[in-house]
This record gives sequence, structure tokens and C-alpha cells, in this order.
Amino acid sequence: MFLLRAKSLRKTYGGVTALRDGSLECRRGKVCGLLGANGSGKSTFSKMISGVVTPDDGEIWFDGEQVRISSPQEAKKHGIIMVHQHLSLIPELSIWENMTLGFEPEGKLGFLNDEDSRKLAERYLAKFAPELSVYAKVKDLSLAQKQFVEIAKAVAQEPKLLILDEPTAPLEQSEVEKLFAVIRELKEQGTSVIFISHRLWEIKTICDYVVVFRNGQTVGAIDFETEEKDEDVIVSMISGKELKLAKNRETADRAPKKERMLEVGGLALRKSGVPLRFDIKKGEVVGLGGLQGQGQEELLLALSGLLPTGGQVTLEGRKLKLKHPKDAVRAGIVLVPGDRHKEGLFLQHDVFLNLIYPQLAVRKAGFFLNRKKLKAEAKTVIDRLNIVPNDPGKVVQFLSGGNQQKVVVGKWLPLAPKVLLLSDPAKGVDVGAKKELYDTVRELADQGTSVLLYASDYEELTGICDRVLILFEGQIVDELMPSDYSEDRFVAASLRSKTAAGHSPIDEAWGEAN
Amino acid sequence: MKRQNFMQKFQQNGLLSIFAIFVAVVAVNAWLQPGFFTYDVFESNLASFTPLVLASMAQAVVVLAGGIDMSIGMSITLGTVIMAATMHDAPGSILLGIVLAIAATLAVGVLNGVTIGYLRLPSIISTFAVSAVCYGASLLIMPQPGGYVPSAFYETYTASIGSVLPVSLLVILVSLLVWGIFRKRKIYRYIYAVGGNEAAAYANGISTKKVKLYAFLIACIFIVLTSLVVVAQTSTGDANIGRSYTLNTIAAVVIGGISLQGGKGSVFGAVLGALIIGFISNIIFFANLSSFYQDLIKGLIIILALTLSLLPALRKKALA
Repeated sequence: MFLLRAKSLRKTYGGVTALRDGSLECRRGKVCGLLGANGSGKSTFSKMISGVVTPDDGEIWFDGEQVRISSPQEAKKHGIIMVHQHLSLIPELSIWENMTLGFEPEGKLGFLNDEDSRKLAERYLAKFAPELSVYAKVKDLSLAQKQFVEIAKAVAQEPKLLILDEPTAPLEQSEVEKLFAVIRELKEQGTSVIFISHRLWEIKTICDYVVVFRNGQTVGAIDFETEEKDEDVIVSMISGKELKLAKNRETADRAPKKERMLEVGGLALRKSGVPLRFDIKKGEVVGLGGLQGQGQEELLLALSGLLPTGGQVTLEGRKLKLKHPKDAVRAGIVLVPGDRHKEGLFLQHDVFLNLIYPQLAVRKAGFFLNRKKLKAEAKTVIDRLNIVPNDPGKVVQFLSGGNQQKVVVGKWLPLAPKVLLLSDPAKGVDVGAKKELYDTVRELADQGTSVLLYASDYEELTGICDRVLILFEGQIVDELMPSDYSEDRFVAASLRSKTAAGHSPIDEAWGEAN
Repeated sequence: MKRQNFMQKFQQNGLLSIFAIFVAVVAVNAWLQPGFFTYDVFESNLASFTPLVLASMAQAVVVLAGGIDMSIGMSITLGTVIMAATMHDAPGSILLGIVLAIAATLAVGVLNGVTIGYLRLPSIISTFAVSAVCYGASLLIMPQPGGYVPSAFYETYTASIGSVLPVSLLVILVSLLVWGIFRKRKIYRYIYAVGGNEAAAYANGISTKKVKLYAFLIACIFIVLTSLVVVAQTSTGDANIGRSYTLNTIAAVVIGGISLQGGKGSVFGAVLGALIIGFISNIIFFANLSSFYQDLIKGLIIILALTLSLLPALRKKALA
């Protein structure tokens, strides 16, 4: 009855536990929904099943015998194929070449049999996108079409177990239904499917049962064939029952801000999406929440001029044209980027140089630099942010993560920014430095700087933000005030389930269909 | 679903514009060079173009796999120097010379393939270092130009088969046939896959190290042929003879529509590119321009070709 049985899989990366106790049973010819918040371990788990990651501990039984899967090739031999989120297609090759890449049909003497390859590609591609020619090059396809080619390629290998990691992310409604039709066909042929998605209506539509992961552990399963498809139950399973009281801190008794700092209107992050519209008051800290990759980072990039998009951005009543980062920086909008090593720091340079680069780029200076003045300014920043060690000559590479992040924030301080954009600033930063960092941000806000903060961690957002905007697929779907801060509320809003305030038309359409 | 016909393939590979340039260059050449359409001129033109055509095929294979070979010129040199140093009129010595040259070229190919594929060194640097090694070895073998090349070599190379097919053309055709065989094998597609997106190729279960090594080994076949042709052409060994080939092959590959990022273009395009460079040199000669202009004009054409090849990518970026 069971095709796959994974028992107590465990994986730690250098002291960080990615998966503590992951268990799952796959029934033959059924679709298993794998659910969990970001970082709950479901990704690590599916990578173990498909051979990308080897578990530290635990057992995997496949087709009645215990197996060790140490590489993707070995997984393939067993008949386990995973469609990864990041596409594994070669843009310059045609669809048929891509669809048979790595398992090309061969004829005599090891010569390729391209005719067979093309026929195979045509047969499986027709299930998803019959309008596409297998001769088309992958680089000319849309994201959704690429996803179809990727899935068709996996199906063409006739797997016993197919793992789909958020396959529907780039797909539109009608395309999702096409995928579901193929999944149903696979089920009839006895193929088992593990389906990972954040969209509850999809889970409810296609899955026969779901397994929920939380904090690296399997926390439960719901069999849709015998139990009710109750969204509330699913959501509470994903988020954990215990309702953590929001740490309102002093946010509640702070006087509401009125003066508008930044107004954003008509900014569309995705082609088909409804444009974003929101504003930030002076001295206000606004959070961006939701699942990962729902457009939070793109929004910050757009506002910092790195990702030019349409839409009007108004700062203190003045319209801005954000075509280049310099436009944003000169207007007083500065970004603390997500990847500080790549985008925020000159790792091989010392703290002093890192702190003064923005000034060299933005401020009008004389022919010679006023080193004395710059040194004094750098010193002020170091003292103010408590950068340890307080030596401007220290090479940034050798600072701790938290102190590096302080340098990224600190380099903007002498410019007295009006709007501070923070993209997951506490990633890889220890608890103490995190607190200092957020204290600094709060302090800046109290002095009148407006802050837009994206953090993947819910507690970080609720700990500091005056309100939180929830993004889903590039759109603001909910706005949480401090009185709404609870993990359940957060998860529900992020998943866009019915328990959230805003009903989505998609949810309603599917609710009726069921 | 209908099969793609030849013209569609031609267009998809971007060969159409290259072919247009080729025709234009031939036309100008025909106008300037007296007796262009006589068999003798055809034969002598081909004989002088052939080495670059073969060497460019070698470069094309490496570039398609996402690398670049800065050692091609010196690898050719090493082959010619070895042959010129070992050969006498005795058939045994000729065979020995050729076998040693093949062994040396393969050794260079393995060195390149292992450093780039297995040690993951950047090809532009490591092949440049290998180039220095080859030059040093060539100088050791032959500090001064000299050596002996049997006259049979020269005579064979300038001969014609049935007085319609020059041997130099035959060598090109044979090389294209060899490549045609590889085209029917997995390695051909894997070269494009690794050059196009190495991480994705790896995720598909392709051994990217092996593919890079094989690309350099396939290139060796064409490098050996180039060495043979160069020896036949010059009748001496000279440690500086191959110097110009490295950059000229890169130029030919770029003009022939192969992306230096790898994974895009065709070996046939590189052949056209090499012929275009050959004809341009001819044009400069017959237009009575100083040969100093040759490099200058060639350089400008390469810049033009590079810009044209980058245009689609830039346009896409602007739209995104």
C-alpha cells in the first residue's frame, strides 16, 4: 500500500537543524500535499527523497525495501523524480533537446536517435501545451511554458514518485487546471505524487491527504478521504496552536503619525497584477510580510531604483523618478539589501572606506577629499551603532555578521536618509546584534525617518512595526495593525485563506466548485 | 508537427547574416583579385585559408562548451616543431613525427581539460599558462627556426584529386565530417548544455567535468590537422609560427556567431568566420593597402561582430 515510507529523517547544517524529525508515508497512486511555513523543513525533506541532500539519520523505505539515496541519479534509478523550483532547462537548446537531456534515446553504436527523442517530447508536451512546437528554443518561452516543459520532462521519465515543489507558482488559473488534469491521469496510472504548494485551494482540490511540517518536524496529517477539508485546522497546524501574544512593546501608546512621507501608487510588480498603493507616514515603521518571494524584495528594489517599474512614487509631496539607484539615494531613499556580502559591502575594504563610499558617490566634494571630516563622521557612526571593534581600519570581512550589517546601515546615516528600506536585515545575525540593529532602526524612526522593513520572520516584524502589509503574489492582500498581531492571523493572511479578512476571488470560485 | 527544413535551421542558428557577410566579402575579393574564378587562384586561396579554418573549429568546440582556449596557437606550434625536428625522408621518421605530434597535442588537451574541468580553474587564465608551457617546450626543441620537412608533405598539400578537389579543401571536408559524427552523439548535446547553463546541466545528471575534458580532446583532432597543414605549408619548424592563431581563431568564432558565453552558435559558423577573415586579409592585400591595416581592420570587424552578437541580449534586458 505504501510506495514510500520515510521515518524520522534528520539533517543539521553546522549546528543549525534544518529538519529534526521528518516522517511521511506515500500511498500508491495518491497525491500527498506537503505543507508548512517557510523554513519548516519541507524543502529539505523533499531534497532528501530526491537525493540532493543526504539525511544524517532516519530511514527511507521505497517499494518495500530500505534504500539509501545519495544522488539525484540514484533517485532516478528508483523512479523518484523531483521538479525543482529553480528550473533546470538549458535556454539555448530546443524543447525536445531539453526534454530528453540526460536520458537521450540511443540507437546503434551509441548514436543519438533524435526521431525518438522528438516523438517522446511531442507526446508528453501535448498534455500540457499542445500549441508549442518541440523545436522552439526554451529561451523564447514564458515562465509558465518553461514550467510546463520542466514538468513534462519529469513525467516523460515515467516516475513512480513525482515530487512537485511549488509547481504552480508561475502558472495561471487555467494552466493550474491543466496540470491537475495531468496529475489525475498519473494517479490513474498508479504514480504517487508529492505536491508542495502554499495555496490552500490547490491543496484542497488535488490532494488526497496532507502532511504538515512545522519547525523541522512532522506535526500531523489529514486524510481528505475520511476527514473534512477544514482550512482552519490546516492553518492552525501550520502555525502551531499556541497563540503567542504579540509583543506590542510601546508601539501601542505611540501617537499615531499623520505627516505623509512616502506615497506609492500604481506600482505593478507582476505584469497581470493589480498595482500596489500604500503610503508611509513620517517616522513610521511599516513591515512587509507574507510568504517568501511574494514580491517583497522586488518592491524594495523598485523603491531603491534598482528595478525600474512604472508607478508614481511621491516623497514629501514631491514626485520622484526612480530609474537608477542614484535617483533614490539623492532623494533620501536608501536600501539595506538582502545579500549584504554581494550588494551591501566591499568585503575586502576597511570599515572606514565602506562607511564613506555613499558620500563619495552622492555628495559634491572638492577636488581633494576632506579626510579629516570623513574620518570624524565615520567615527560618529561607529560609536552610535556600537560597531565592534570600534576600529575604522578593520577589514569588513573579519567582522561578525551583525557588525557587518551595522556597517551597511551605518554607511547611510551621514546622509540623513528620509526613507530606510530594509530587506531581511537580520538574516544570519545573532540575537544580541539583532536587538541592537532594531533598536537603531527604532531610534531612526523616532527621529523622523520612515522605515519599510521586509523580514521573513514573523516575530521580527511584529516586534518593531507599527503595521504590517501582507503581500501575496505581488499584491497587498491584507494590512495588520498591532491589535491583529498573532501568529495564526499572520499565517492565515499569508496563505490568503478564508479566515483572513480579505476573500480572494480564486478562493471563492473554488469554494463553490467543491 | 512538421520537421524543420534546412533554411529554418539555418536562420535559427543565426547563420543567415554571417552567410550574407561571407558573400559580400567574396564579391569584393573577386572584384579585386585578378583571375579569382580560375582554378589555380581558388586552390591557392584555399590552401592559405585552411589552417585558420581548422584551428577555428577547435576553438569553436571549446567556446561552445563555455570555455576559451588561449593555447591553440602554441599547441599548433608545438606540433609543427616536433614534426620538423623528427622527420627525415624515411617513411618511418615521418610516421614517428606525426605520432609524437599527436601525442603532444593530446597531452596539451588533457592538461587543459583537467585544469579546467576537474580543478575548476578559469579557462582564460589556465589555457594561457598552458600556452606558455607549450612555447617553452617548442623553444627547447627548436631554439632557432629550422628542421626538415620532407617535400612529399608540400607536394601532397598542394595537389588536387582528379584536378577538381584540392587537398586543402578535402582536409576541411574531412574535419566537417568528423564533427558531423560527433553531432550524432550525446557529447554534442552535452557540450551545448554545459556551455549554455552549467548548473542546469549538472542537475540533469550530466558530468560537466567530463564534458569539458572531452571538448578539449575533440579540439585536439582539429589542432593536429592544423599542425600538419602548417608544416606542409611552411616546410620548416618555427617556435613563433602559431602565435597569431590564438586571437585569429577567437575572432573567427565570434564573427561566426558563436557566443563567448558558450552554448550558442555552430561550428559551421566558425568555418565561415575563418573564411571571412581569410578573405578580408586577401582584400587588404589586393587593394594595395599596407599590411599594417590588416590588424586594424580585423580588430574593428571583431568589435562590430561582438556588438551585433550582443544586441539581442541588450534589447531583452531593456525590455525586462
